[in-house]
Amino acid sequence: MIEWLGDWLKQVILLILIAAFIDLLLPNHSLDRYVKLVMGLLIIMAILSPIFHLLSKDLDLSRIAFGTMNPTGKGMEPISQIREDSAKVKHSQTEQIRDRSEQAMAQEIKDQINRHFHITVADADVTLAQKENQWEIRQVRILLEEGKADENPANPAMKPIEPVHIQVGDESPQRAKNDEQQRIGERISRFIADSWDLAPDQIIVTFTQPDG
Amino acid sequence: MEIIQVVGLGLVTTFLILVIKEQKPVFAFLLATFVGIIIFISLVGKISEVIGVLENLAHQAHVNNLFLETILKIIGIAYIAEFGAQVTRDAGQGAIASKIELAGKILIMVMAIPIITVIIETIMQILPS
Repeated sequence: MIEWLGDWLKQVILLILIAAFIDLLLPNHSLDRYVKLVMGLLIIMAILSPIFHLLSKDLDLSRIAFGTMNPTGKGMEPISQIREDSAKVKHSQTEQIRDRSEQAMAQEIKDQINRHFHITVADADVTLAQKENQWEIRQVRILLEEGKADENPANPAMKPIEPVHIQVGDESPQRAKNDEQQRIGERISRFIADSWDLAPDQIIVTFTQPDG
Repeated sequence: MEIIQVVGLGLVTTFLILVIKEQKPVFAFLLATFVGIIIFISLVGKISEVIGVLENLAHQAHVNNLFLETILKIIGIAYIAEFGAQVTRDAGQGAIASKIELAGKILIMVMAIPIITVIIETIMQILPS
């Protein structure tokens, strides 16, 4: 813009200087008026040249408007590309929402089990699935830490859990322990199914394998 | 230095013409025309230098070529018309001299016609019809 303005100004100034010079060069004064008229017209032309330039090109307002709207200079992307991008963004947003919901639900289940059974939950995993534009829980996996079961004293309806005796070399305590775990697992499963309004087969309760 | 040469040539020619005019007025006129042409041609080189400087400046300033061409044509027409008018006036033909001047004026005005046309057309475009 400034360069163009400088060019235009230079042109006008030089033309005026040349006109003054020609005034001196002219041989007599009889032609003076005519030459002055033509020089005046030329200077007017030079001053108006930006307007001529503007008028000679067909002024396209929409082109100017879009030019300023898109400062990167790239043309607008085709509509199909925009739709594709929007679908991608929507999909990633849905994924994110699902992940966050699953995490929140898993944390909630962990807290519930901890509050009611005093069992430390090693891991809880909720799998959500979309069905007719509605999200629903497909499966809940709960991994309990072995041997941490403890009866909630605030809930007298539950029987206290027998302490687990380990006798190496004997089969029956192991089986008793498995039975115990199965019992706790079933209770937790029932509890979660009731509180989350799920079918019992949607809940899988497992215990961590004993070390060694 | 050159002005002394020109003035010297002019003085000598004037003296010679004064001498010849009594005997042969036609030769006196021829001599005057010839010397006039010689002085004019000797100065053309100087004028071309000036025009060269102007052209150079105009190119540096990106002046439209049309403007410069018109200006230079105007200068040329003015000089040539002036020269012819003076020669004929010297020969005592004032009427022809004024016709040459008229031709010069008209030709200069013709130079302006395209410029005037462009300006008027632009004004018409700007004004709502």
